[in-house]
Amino acid sequence: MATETLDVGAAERPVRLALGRYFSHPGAVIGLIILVCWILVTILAPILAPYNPADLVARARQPPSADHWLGTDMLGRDVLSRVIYGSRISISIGFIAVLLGGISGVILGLLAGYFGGWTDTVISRFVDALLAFPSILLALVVIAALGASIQNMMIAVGIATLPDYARLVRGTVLAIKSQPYVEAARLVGNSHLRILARHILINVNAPIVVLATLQIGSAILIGAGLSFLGLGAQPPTPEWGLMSAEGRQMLQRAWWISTFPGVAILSVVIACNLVGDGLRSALDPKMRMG
Amino acid sequence: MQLLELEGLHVAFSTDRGEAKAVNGIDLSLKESETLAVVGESGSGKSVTALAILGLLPKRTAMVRADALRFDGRDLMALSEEQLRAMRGKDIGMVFQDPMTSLNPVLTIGRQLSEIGEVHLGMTRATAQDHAADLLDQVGIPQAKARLRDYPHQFSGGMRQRVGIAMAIACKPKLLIADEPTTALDVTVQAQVLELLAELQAEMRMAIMLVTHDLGVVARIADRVLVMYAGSVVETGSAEAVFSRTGMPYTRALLRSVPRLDQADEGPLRPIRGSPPDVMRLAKGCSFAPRCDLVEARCHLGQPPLARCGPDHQAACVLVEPTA
Amino acid sequence: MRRYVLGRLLQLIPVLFLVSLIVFAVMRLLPGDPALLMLSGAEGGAITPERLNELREQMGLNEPLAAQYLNFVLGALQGDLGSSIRFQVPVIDLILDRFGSTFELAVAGLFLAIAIGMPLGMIAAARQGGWIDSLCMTLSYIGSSMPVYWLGLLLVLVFSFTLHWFPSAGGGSFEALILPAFTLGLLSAGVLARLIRSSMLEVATEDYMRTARAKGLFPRLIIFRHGLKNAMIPVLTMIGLQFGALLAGTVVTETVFSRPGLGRLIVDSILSKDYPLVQGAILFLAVVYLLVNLAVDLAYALLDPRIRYGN
Repeated sequence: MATETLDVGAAERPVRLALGRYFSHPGAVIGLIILVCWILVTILAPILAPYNPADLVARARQPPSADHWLGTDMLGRDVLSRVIYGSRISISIGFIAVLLGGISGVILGLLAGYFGGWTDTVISRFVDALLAFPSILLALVVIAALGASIQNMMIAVGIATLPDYARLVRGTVLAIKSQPYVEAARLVGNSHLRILARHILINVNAPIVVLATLQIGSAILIGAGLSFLGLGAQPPTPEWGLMSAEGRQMLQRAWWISTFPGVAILSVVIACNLVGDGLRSALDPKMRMG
Repeated sequence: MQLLELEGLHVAFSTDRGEAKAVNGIDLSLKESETLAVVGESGSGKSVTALAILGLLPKRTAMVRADALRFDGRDLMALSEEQLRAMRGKDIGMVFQDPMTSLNPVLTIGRQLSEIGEVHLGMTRATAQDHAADLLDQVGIPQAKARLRDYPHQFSGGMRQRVGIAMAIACKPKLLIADEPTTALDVTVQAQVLELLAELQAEMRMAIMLVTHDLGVVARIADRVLVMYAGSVVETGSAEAVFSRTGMPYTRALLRSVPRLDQADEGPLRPIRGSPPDVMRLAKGCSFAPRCDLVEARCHLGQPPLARCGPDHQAACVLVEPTA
Repeated sequence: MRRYVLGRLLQLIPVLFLVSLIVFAVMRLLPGDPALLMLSGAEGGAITPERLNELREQMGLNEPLAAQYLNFVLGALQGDLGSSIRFQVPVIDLILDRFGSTFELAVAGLFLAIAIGMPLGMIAAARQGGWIDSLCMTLSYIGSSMPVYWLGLLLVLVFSFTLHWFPSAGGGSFEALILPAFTLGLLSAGVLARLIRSSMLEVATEDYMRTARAKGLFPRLIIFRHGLKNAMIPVLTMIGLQFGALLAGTVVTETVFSRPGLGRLIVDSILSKDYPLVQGAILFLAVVYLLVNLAVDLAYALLDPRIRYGN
């Protein structure tokens, strides 16, 4: 029983150490602040946005002014309000796509790594084949099959990010599986599910969290790119990639319509990458800041 | 005349946890064609000392300071980086511990050897190639000429270390620093490499500074011995004196912990209990006191200085009876 | 070496098989009758069950799926990827017609990425912690967090509309290639610079680099002869992956700059549900990507003798 009190102390220290390491990187702190601000924007959008994003509130293509900080678009909608409401869509695309890809990728990786043999062969070959496509191409295949819509785009981006998780988890599981404590857990008659959850998943969660954070940024980028191509969100949705596409034809006369949504994406993606890198060095000091 | 003189060397590394004092003011000297063995456990600062002499410690993290560092009549502290470079590999050669990792895996052995001749001896590429073949021959690698085109992974560990030695002696240096040259090798190969070093020394009349934790090695080839513990010299003297009239309990413990081929039965092997102290937090007293069998109250009062305990023999222990 | 090349070629076969299977399965197992799409999309007029059945027969859609797949693969092996619904011409002709422009763009982008990213990463590594390092890393960080299309629009805004240096759209000429190539290349340059930097720093801690310094070699010789070749080994893999990203990135870039390329063709055919064209074009790009990665693996062997002579 004496060891239990020791364990508590030992468990608390890594957490505090990790937090300390995280907050010692100025970039990681800045990224976290930007990300928190954006999350607040998504929640408080109705309060923060000066106009309804769908309303035609002024003449079309007004340059930025005191009334319309970021100008108005080709129909006369307020760009700032649309960027603010757009955060709800673009950011949730990132999170949901990563969740979809992450959960299925982790499950595939766990199964492949833990059971080995035929299961591993089948899953690994499948993942290899997915990796044979650059991720945006993979997303295109899925969209081509399912049709262009926001939901399908989330699925597509999720599938495009899936192989990274599967590979990461499989590799880690293979390394952990042969550890004596896992063998011991199996010998005393724990079920596969219990071993996977209690002993293996718990040891791969740090790299998964790091990967997922970094993937949110790239999922937002792929999602915006697909919407820009007309393969994701459809008008009149205030989605950042779509907004840039809508302004493209009048870039010369009204540059603000296309550029401001891009600034928003840039800041969110940078924030995600900064937080991801910060988490990486905080959770696993052996991994380097890339 | 002394070939190498080092006085008051301090080396500290800045780490996440603070400053790690690796070497705390050691003196060291070496005559021409003499072999000095620097002995200690890992972490005692012996390898750091060797690297500090050549200026090879990472500049970003290592702070090196010395009262004097003279080699062959020149003040190394006053040399520019370029002057130091010109001396490295030419006047001082170095052999590293792990021949598996200290050769460049993507360059041929010939390339790695001949570039020394090109840089230091002003040789053309062709002459440098011939020179490289001669060197391989000299360190006992058969079919030297043909093997120049091979890559490190095509050699065995012992052969690679021979290549490492060939690189170190390429310019017939006055001093060869060998940092644990046999540690990574099989026992039988160890003997061959030591023999090679001894032969080369006799032939080229160079001084050798041999850094090792293996007293068996020391007994075979060293003229003088310097024992380091926690960044300080705790005993030094002629090999004969240090081995037969050991002054410091640490040296004695070290001797008892390794098998010796050159001496008959000396009783059972005994590992040293405990582990070397944390260089981040050195206590005020003798740093070996926590592990010493003969520890007394006064051991904790302060680090005893090196005291003369015989002709050409000094030890840092309160038990040493100073002799005049 | 010959065994290594043969081995890599053999490994390619199952991957190609799986890639074709995925493309086939995704396009064929999902709802929607291609024949119906073709009739309603292409010709107009009345859709009678007879005409539908005739077309299904003609397209082989009445056969079992396994036979359909076999036909697809056998056709693909002979360069027959079916006919486009929209254009009513063989898919392979459309692809080959457009691929030149896309390949040119991707290669130009890769060239810029290497030309900009390599020196940037090396300078950053050599001056680790200095202001050049921070600047390089900040730029590459921003670069890799930018949407491709947005960078393209910014470049058009500045260099085309404001400075009038380059055309904002179109293909065919060298001037028209510059902005799209920079759009693609700058993003990859950031990724490459970061990788080269970390790879150089990693290599700098290797024992053989210390040996090189102990030999008294010139600093430049140490970096270029002893460091760079080792540092390039992981970088090469990344260059292969980046080429894939660049090929895929042309999808967006070609839209921004209205370039008639394969990427644009894929997007258009997805929007017009021209599924044989989508299927063929994506399979084609995936195969090109695999071949590029094979080439990279072979280049590996040239850099690393352990692979060349290895087991």
